[in-house]
Amino acid sequence: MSARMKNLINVIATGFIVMVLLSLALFYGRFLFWSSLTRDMPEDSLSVIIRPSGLFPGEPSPLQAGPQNRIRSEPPGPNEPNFRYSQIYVGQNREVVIGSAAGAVWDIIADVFKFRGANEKVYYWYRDENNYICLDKRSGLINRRYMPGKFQPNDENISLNNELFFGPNGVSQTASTSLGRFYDPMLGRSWDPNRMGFYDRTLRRFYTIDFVAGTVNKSPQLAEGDSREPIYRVRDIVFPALNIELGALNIWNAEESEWKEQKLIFGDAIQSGVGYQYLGRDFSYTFIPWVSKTGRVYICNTKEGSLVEAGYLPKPWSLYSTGVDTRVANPRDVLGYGVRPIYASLRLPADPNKPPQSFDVKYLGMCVGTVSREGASMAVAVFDANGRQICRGDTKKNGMPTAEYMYSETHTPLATISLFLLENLQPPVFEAASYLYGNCIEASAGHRALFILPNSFVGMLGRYSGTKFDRQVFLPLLMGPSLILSIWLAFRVRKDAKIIGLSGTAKKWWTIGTIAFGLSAYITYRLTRPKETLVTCQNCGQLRRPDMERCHRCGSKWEIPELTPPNWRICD
Amino acid sequence: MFTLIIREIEDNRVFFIAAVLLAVIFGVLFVYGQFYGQTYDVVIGLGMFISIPMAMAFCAMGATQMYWDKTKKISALLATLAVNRSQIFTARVIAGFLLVLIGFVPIAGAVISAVSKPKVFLPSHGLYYEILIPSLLLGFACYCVGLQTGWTSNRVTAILGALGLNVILIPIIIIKGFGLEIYAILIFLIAACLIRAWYKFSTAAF
Repeated sequence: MSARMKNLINVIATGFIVMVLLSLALFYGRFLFWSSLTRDMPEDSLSVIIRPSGLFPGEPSPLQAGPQNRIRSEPPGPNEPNFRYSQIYVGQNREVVIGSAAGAVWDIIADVFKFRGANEKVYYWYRDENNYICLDKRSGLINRRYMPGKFQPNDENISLNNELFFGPNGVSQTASTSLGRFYDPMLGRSWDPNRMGFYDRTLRRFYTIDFVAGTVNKSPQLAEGDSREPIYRVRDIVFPALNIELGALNIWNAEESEWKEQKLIFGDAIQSGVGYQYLGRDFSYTFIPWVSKTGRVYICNTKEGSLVEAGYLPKPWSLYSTGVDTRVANPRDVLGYGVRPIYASLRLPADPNKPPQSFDVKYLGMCVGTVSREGASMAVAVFDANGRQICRGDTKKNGMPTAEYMYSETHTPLATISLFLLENLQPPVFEAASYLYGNCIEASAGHRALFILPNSFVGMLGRYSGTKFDRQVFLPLLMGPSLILSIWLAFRVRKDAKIIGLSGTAKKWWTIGTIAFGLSAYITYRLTRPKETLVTCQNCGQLRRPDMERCHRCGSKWEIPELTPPNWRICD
Repeated sequence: MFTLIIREIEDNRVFFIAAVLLAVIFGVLFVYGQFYGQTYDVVIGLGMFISIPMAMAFCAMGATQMYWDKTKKISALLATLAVNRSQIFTARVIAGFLLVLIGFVPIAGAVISAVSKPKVFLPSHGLYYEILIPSLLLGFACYCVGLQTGWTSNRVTAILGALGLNVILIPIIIIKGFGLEIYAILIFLIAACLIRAWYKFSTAAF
């Protein structure tokens, strides 16, 4: 390998080391200022309250949507009606948003939750060796073993009925191949020791298993590549970036000075006067909500075998796009989402002294919330039972979208300016890539990005919803400091390269490289430049390289003095 | 080559003795835990506590190897014998990798197994490799960064450089997690560090 090639490889290797270490150092700086901005957002700017929700029978459509005080227990005022509307409260989990930068934590959670790589049995519920629900990977069957209480060896309660095997084709007391097999069940939050609902990615069906009744229900099979296919994001199940809380309909009881929950009376129950209880959860597992990869939300009715579109992920605002936006957000473009269906449930039999045999559940609608990529704003939409959007709310503070408020009002401008300057220490080529391709990076991965920064100011400009002209005006302004720094560094590199006598080609490439890679290239140059001590050229008087045949400034050769022997001799 | 590796181990015996001692301690704790329980917390706590100093130690070994070479001209002396610089450098890197293996694998193994053991929900094998391999790569990357910082005759520069670069590098595993990205970054970083160290080592004038 020639010395020139060796040198080139050394320069590339050094450049990579510098780029990684510098990007890491800049990441810590950016994280410090960004988390400081996020942490200092006022509590009330991180929530949306929609009241009334408009989803309960007899309730008016939402009149108000926006951040309000989270007060739910105060008695009504003298002019208020003696009836309290239902309320949806959506609050952002700030710790989860800030913690998005810790990829290791999310990877461990994802692994643990998905049980990937686990041994033969994947446990969904485990109390002891006689009480558990697991997926047996070998047989592909879900095994439920349940033995309540303590038993004597000859206890007649012990029977094979306590152990059941569930497959796509049915239930059996033994692990039979006729039951078929599950391959890749995706469990959400909606399961308990009695019932569970899930989607199998390989079989492309939803399944509901009732462990008590011993039944398996399944939905129609989705076609391969169907856009309705669910996505599975563990972090939105385990540690969602937002919480959706539903307040039930309450009536103020003046005698007892407290709120009483109002039962819901539907048309078919008026005669009997039996009221449905409002529930945030479907204990019958009749309905399984899921988010598709396109951002649409569907409800699967496993009893009827129907799949219905029930809503979509609302697109949250960002710094440069705060106008009315009715677009559907792609799950990859939001840091977190939450889907909360609202049900009314009637326990059957209604007598609270008798154990429930089943539940009659009605689907009323759903609330869907999303957190923006940068974690600076949140959007909430409420959909009725027919999938029609009846309300949308966005996080605001002092009438300003929080996406703007975070960067302008929370602090002295110090944090925002520091963040901006640190972003501008990134190489211009990465800044340009952030602008052009920032959207291609998944939202939470954007918080851990080292090179292309989708959440930088330039990256946010790439998602600007306004005109192309505006973008082109703003882009040089946002990239300006980075470009100016790079050009200045390139000038310094060129000047130094001239002094130390680099060839014209080398100078050209170093200049281009420094303009493209900015500070990283400049540090690389300083680390790899030739370190010969220069000597004075006798011809031009300027410094020249001693290891080159000709002076790189004037082109003169070394002046070698002619050594002519003297005519005289020293004699003893 | 084998003789050269042995010589590198002897020259850096402090690091190797410490690594073997730690490996034995963790091994005993883990085996004790398997039979008698109750030591998982100790293994996890001690393992977490010791991981950062250990990564620093890997870096220190790399820095020490290059620093002594630069100041005491060890390779210049060895080059007068029947070995060349490639062999010296290779032996040095192999010794470094051995230290990382001896120091890291038993401890990480014990910690990850201890984390996985008490809870039946936690898988043992998948998580084990997913965490172990990137952590091992990070340990070796720290060693390679040490090779960069040690190539100086100024002791303060070597120490501060190693310390500073380690502080920057080690949290990468927390940021990037255990996916493909961390593999790519660390493997390229290791390769780049070795190339640069070799270039400096082979072109240095003695």
